[in-house]
Amino acid sequence: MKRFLFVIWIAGLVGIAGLKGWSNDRYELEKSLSGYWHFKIGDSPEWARPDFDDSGWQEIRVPERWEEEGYPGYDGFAWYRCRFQVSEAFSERDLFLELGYIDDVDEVFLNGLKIGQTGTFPPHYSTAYNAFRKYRIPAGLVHFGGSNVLAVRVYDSQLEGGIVKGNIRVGAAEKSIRLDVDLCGSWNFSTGRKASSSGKTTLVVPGNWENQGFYDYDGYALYTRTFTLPASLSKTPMVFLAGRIDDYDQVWINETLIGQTGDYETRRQSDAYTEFRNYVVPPGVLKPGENQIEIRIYDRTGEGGIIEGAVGLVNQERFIRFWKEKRTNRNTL
Amino acid sequence: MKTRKLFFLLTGFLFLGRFATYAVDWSTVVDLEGTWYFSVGDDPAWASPKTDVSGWDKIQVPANWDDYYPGYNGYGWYRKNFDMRAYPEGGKLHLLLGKVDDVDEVFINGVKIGQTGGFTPDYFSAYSIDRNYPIPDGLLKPTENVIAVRVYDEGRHGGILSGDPIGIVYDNDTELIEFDLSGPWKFSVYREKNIHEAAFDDSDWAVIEVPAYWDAQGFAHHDGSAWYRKSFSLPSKLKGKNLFLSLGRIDDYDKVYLNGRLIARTEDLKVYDRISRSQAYRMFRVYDLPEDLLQPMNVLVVEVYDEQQYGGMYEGPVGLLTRENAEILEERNDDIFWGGSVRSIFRSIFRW
Repeated sequence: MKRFLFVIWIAGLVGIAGLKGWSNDRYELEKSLSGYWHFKIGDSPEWARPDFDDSGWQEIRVPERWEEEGYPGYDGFAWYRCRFQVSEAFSERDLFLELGYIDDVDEVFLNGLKIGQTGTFPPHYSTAYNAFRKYRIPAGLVHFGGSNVLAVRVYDSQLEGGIVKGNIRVGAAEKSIRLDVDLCGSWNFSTGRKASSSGKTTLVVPGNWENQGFYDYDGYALYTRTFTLPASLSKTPMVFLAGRIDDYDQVWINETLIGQTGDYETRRQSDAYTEFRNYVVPPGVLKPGENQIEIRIYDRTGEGGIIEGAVGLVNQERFIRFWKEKRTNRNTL
Repeated sequence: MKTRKLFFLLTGFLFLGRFATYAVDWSTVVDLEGTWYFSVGDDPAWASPKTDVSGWDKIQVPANWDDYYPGYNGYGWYRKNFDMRAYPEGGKLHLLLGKVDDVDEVFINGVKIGQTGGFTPDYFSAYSIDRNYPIPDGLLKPTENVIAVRVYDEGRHGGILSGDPIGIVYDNDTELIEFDLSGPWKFSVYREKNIHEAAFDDSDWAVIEVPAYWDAQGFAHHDGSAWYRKSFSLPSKLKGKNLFLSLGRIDDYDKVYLNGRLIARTEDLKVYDRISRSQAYRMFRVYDLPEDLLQPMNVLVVEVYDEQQYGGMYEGPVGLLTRENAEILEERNDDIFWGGSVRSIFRSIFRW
């Protein structure tokens, strides 16, 4: 029996290690952000703003433990800021920001918009020092050929702190679908089947919930947000891409069920967590102006949530074109 | 010793697989295997023959659509045009599409002929079901027919995956039938007073095609009792003849009433004593009709009880036939595994 438990324990460790693997993604294009950034200890929401003047801040090497960079023994809040440019060649692609490993908690703003968070800040502090940071950059956020401002808020509770190691870069993956309404970013999140006012928080999508304060949570959870549909698209057939979800989901727009994968109700086992979701929105569901979307998830075990992929709405015509271009075995017929 | 055991076990499974597929002797009228037009996405207008699909991709049917669109899940539509070179005489035409992963809905010349599985919001997969859709009479034209298949795939493999044959077929056994009763029947799942009587008014009942699982004809998920009713006038050439009634295979149990009188039940079949009652869905129904019961105008009522999953009068020729042909039909379809027919086991081996 003891040996059996040991095996289970080892398997668990291996599983956790798998969740936190070092990124070895190969991008078609990448821009390294390693080097000297601006740095200041302390904390202020102002520092997320792209027009904030950080010219008086200290310079700091990224990646490196801040203990090595003139802040020995410092624990607490600090901000990193840098400016970068990427060329037009990066447009029309899926862009990712990789920040390697951050000790302990971080929150990332690009051009003033929050694009990700890993771990949770005090008062509900939880560390994520061993989680690899990879954030999807929402479409339309980056100024190609222009200046972009990245601001990273970090909290360190003890020992070494900061953006400590890794290949710090912006990567451009294979040409991807361009969303008409990009819904990557902050969503309201609550555990359980129904939205509750208590325990409501925001999570970044895509990204598992384990790295965003819900370490070890399995079971039902709910993602909600609103979005604005341009009037020009209100009559256009649209497809909602929900990304890869772990494990089962139901997607509701304006209280209509538009798609589901896996067995949300009866929770029968399946490998739905490997699948990317494409849900055609039935006609009449989307309204011009504000729309409400709700993603109900059941996670059986391991990591949970909307894990990866483009999340948002694309008009069906472009969706069809995208898959036509992606098609393989073109010459076998 | 162990390997021998394994060998017998494996061959046993092979036989089972074989029997599952060769219940009906199909003749292909139109072969639909090959290249089809295909598009991801979903649009009701694609069912219409008027919609131009010449800009769509082409893919092989049957095949896993992930071979062309790696990782694709969601809706996809298949379209193909075909001509009818030859019609068989009499008998029901069926469309066989093999296994479709997960849900499909089929239109011929813009008319929906059936659906297997459920689309969102009532989603359920039917990836393991062999698609078999009876084609309503009068729907096919000599040329320029258009078939459109709407498919939804929840995950992994997707599309019109596998099957042989894929196409428009008819059951060779229908040549034994003197008077064909396949096609539209009145259908209801509600028990009513005098439901077996000839005079019962079924004008507000649904109409479904026979033979076919009712689950693929708009009654998905119905288990339990259901009633089929069909009125017919007896051709004068069959008057006074000793006739038999073929209902093919029924899932699971049936009671048959002719002009208000109970004339047959599953339990009356010769094979019923030989094999387990739970195998009733595989038994081939050929019933002797009592003499003098047939009138110039007749009403046939079949009460079917389905225990679980798919149900109904689902396979085989339906109609009246002579004693001689009834014996041939029974003989041909007496191939139930463990049914005592060693000959058919050997026959299936040599067909391999």
